[in-house]
Amino acid sequence: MLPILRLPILVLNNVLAHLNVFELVSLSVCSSRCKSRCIQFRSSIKMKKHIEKFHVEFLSDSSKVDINFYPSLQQCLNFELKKLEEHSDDLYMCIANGLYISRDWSPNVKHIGHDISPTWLWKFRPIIYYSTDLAASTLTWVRFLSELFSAQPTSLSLTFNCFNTEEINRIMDCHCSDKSIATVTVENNKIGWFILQSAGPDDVFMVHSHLRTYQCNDPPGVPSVSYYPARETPLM
Amino acid sequence: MSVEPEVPIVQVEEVRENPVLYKIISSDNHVFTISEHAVKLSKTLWDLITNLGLTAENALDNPIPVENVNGKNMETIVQFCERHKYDEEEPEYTNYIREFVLPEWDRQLLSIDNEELFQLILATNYLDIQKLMDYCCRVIGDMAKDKTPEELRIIYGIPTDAEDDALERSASDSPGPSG
Repeated sequence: MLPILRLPILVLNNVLAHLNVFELVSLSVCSSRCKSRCIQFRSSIKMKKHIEKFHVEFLSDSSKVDINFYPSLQQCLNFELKKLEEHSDDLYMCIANGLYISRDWSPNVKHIGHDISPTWLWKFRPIIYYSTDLAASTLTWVRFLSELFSAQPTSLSLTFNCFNTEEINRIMDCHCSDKSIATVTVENNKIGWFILQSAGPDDVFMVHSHLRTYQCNDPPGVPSVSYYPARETPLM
Repeated sequence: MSVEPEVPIVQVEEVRENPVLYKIISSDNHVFTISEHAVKLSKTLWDLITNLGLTAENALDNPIPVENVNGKNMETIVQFCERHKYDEEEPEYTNYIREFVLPEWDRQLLSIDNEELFQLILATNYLDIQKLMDYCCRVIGDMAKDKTPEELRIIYGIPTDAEDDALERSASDSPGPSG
């Protein structure tokens, strides 16, 4: 045993600098004290700048949370939240209210070669399980990651007809702050899609729904929406 | 500080080409000689030498007592510093993941049990030897590879929240020095 929490804080930070992002998450679910030390390590301004994409996606019975780490994209966290069919203490470990991981939790890592760089992109694709409420559990996990990496989600997408009004309100309440814009579009008297984005002047406008993607890169005041039938595939 | 005559003098890869040598005495009174280039890797020791005004002429007559580091750790530290004294300066790390290859010689040197490694890292921190600190932290970080949270808790001695709470309660319940 090597009691890292008894190391001086700067030494511990040096140790944590040698962990990849999945190992850091694994460590931070060990205990509250461990998590707060990891937060302390990640909270420097330099670290905060290393996240440019933090995307949350609500699907019908699962959700995804993706975080890309920069400046040179070498690591991605792609969490998938799935329903826990049958809980067993032998197989699963509770990490937060309503959230579980399997006791042999693995990063399910995939290495991808860059086109122009000799370095590899590490995609960590671990699975988290929720017991009852997908919306609440996803928000709990997003909050956990937000605290750990000192970053807020940059984009959000959801399939509206899979959630009731109360759940949608809760999601909106959690994700809409003074620094973000929420846009809801109604099509044929039904909510078609909605987008949440940062209100920063230089941000790219990106809309997600489960069927389509809308994109608008025009400056404020000159609204022009391009319609894409499938995500990131222009309509010809 | 007086040194008993029977205390062993540990010779660690002495260098003939560098005439300036310093003597260091560990907390358990072991005496080590170390070359000038090597001792410069320790910011603490080099500051001490500079402040004491030690020179090539009087260095060996004025051993430097280091009361926070025992002989075993000091031996490892002196070996490391002698090995790396002519290394070029490391470039600044650009990524927060510190990618470097830990040389095999150093991996062998640091293949010690966890308690010893813990004490060595505290000694390294005290003596402010950045390269050895990076290597020790890399070895500790490598212990997390392919481990589940439960395995990490055991390897790194991380108490559960309930254990932390119990410790905190017992600390607050126990009487103070006057009680």
